Amino acid sequence: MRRIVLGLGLAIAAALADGAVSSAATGGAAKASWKVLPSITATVTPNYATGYGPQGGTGSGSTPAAGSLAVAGGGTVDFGTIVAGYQYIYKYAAQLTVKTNDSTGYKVFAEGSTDFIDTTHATTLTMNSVLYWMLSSASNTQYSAATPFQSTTNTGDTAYNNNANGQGQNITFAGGLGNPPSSALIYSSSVDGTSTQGFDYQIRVPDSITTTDTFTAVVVYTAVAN
Amino acid sequence: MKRIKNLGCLALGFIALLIALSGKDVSALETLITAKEVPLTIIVVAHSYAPAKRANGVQVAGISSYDVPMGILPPTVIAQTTGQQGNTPVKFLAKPDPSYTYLHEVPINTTLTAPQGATTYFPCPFEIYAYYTTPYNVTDWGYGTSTQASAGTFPILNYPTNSDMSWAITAVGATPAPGAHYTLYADSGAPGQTAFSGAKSQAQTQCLNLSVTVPLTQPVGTYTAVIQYNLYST
Repeated sequence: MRRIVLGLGLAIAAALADGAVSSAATGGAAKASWKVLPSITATVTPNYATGYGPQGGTGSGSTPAAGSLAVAGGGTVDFGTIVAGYQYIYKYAAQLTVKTNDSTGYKVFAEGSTDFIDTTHATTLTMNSVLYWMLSSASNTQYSAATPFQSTTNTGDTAYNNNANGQGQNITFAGGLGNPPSSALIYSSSVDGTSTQGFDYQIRVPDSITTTDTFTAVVVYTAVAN
Repeated sequence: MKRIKNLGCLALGFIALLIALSGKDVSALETLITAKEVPLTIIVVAHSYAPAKRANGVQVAGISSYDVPMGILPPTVIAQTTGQQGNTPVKFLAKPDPSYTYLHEVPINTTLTAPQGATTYFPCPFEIYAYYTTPYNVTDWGYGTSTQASAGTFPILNYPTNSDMSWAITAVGATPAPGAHYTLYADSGAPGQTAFSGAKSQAQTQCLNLSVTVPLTQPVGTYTAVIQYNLYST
């Protein structure tokens, strides 16, 4: 035991002496460099503000009201019952929050993972003729200028977290993630940090609907760096 | 002499009545059956169609710039997108339009892209179907327009400013002849203008061909025009 302690003491002394000699010989400062791993996170919150829900349908004879799947701060953008051929707006439909440490900022794209599909799969409504988006504003109406969503030309991820109609809630882009089409751009920022933006939706269902049916789709938001 | 004067007054009054009845307020003699709004999306693009460029003239890199190699000075770090997706489920219960039998729109392509400083023609972006059990008129005007507001919004604007959108009717499948007249959309609210008429129990579908004139000063962006079509029994 005593031998072990003595050996350890000699080793420490030798190390100290070596360090002192080295320091005296070279001097100077050490240079350290590293890379900060860039990151970007995005969250989407449906029904994000008081007053969320559908308005419009002027002349249809019915007053719109949010459906049962619409809940404050989450759930579904559920327009409830609408009459084909009339225009509706869904206020405060979704809020996007993006956080990044990338000083060049970011872009956000949004697409339907599919077109609108009815519960019996007998009818499909094209996404870009039915659902439109605009930046949220208290003055928005069902007649305000809005841009149609497109359904993706890539692959809706049907193997993950699907809804009742089998519509994917993510999109796998050709060539890997982060390759949405420029036509799907809905928002951008040129700075880092955290920012939020709300969106209202408009819906315009064609008159050609002849039976009462429920339609669903999923809008997928993808945030990428500039 | 006095009788002649009275007859003259009566004749003038009768003429005034005829003018009043044949004027703008024809709808007072008609019955509104139903009305439909046709929303159109107009995307105004730069007149040159040039790709977006930075101020220094360097073309903006596309999404493909994500493969910029890391570690080259000055350091370029690109945030990756893995897992950065969120989604919003959307749902609605659609009921048929009860007045579909009498008046409805048949959308063909209601998103119109037009460059600044030019007039662009769009053959049949939508059709209007009409039918009724009596003779009828289909009228139109820009929704929400007014003689009171000073400007209105592009492209329908407000009276007395002329609309930047006009229409010409053809049969389905036909296109307007070269030099055909396009009528500016009415932009002072009701009663608007007659788009077409029909006989008793005549079902017909008419094609609406549009032209959009974009002022050079109109900012690039997305705009909406809403046209209201009204079916009157005569």
